[in-house]
Amino acid sequence: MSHLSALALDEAAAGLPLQPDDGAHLDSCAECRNERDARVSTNRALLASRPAALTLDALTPKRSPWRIALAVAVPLAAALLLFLLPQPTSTGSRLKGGFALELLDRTGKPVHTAHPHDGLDLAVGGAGAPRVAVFAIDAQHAVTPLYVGDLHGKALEKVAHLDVTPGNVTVLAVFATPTVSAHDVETALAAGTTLPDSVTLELEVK
Amino acid sequence: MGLDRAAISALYEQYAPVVYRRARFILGRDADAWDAVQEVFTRMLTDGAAFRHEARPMTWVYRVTTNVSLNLLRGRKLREPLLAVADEPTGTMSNVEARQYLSKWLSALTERELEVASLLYLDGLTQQEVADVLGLSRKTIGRDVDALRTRLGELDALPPERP
Repeated sequence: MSHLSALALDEAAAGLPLQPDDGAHLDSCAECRNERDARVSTNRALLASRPAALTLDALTPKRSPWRIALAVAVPLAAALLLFLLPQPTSTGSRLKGGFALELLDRTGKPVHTAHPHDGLDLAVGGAGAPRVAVFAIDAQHAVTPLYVGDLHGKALEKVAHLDVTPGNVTVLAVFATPTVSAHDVETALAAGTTLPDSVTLELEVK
Repeated sequence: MGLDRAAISALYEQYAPVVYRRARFILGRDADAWDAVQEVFTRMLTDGAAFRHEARPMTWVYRVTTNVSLNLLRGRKLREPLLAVADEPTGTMSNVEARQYLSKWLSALTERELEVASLLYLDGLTQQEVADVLGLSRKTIGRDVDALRTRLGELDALPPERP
């Protein structure tokens, strides 16, 4: 057979089981083993890089499995963001009978200002919507997922914990099904179009 | 999301380098590639059932990474049409050529044709592996590839066959 494909080499480098023919070939082909070993080394170096660590950190819950601790950053003018964001179905916090989005301090009080290193709970109410996706949007319109998951009722529920870092941020909650991605939000931002079933909240970080 | 830190780290160590390399190859920029890594892992962690039920989990990673990267590339092309194929200085000649093909394909091919072309010509997968990645039969992919070769020939965007 010809040499292993990129897919098979990636499986081998990741320590995954190979297809029988691929496994037999790897055992008998020094060239493919060298290529696999090279990928293992490259993978290790990549995982040791700072961007890899930061990305993993953003994906990892820090307090409990149902909470995501995520740093949100980058200074921006809140007014500029308000101007650039697609107009949401509703703006701000709780709407009676509608979607709700709040950042809560340690006492459970809604806040719109915070200090770096504050811990805030992200709370959403879907008014019966089954799922929510929440994003942080920075001054460069970079969109970072904060939380994606199921909702369990109409009431406001805490879904994630955020560690505040310097710089104002806009938080956007979208209650649409199927769940929107960060790329969908970026596309809407670029096009200036409205995302349906969404709520935004501005957090000023002093 | 259901998984603890150790479980997520284990998945990340196993798959993140593959996602990064594929995304970097398609997108040509480090920052965009890391965005793709985050998006792919967010999908993996929030839609874990589909990932776990794959007989070959790497095929799920290939498929979703390709989708995410092509979506990012399309979005970037809309936002920065003049920079859409701009490459970082580290791009090799083969990477640049690959993205030139991608640029032509993006504006002319359907979603399915684009996926097949990327996996077949850019990643160098076999037709059987393309079928596995896309969850289609080998026969279907064979027909798709025949039609794709004709289409790319008409567009003058058919990469040379690999030896």
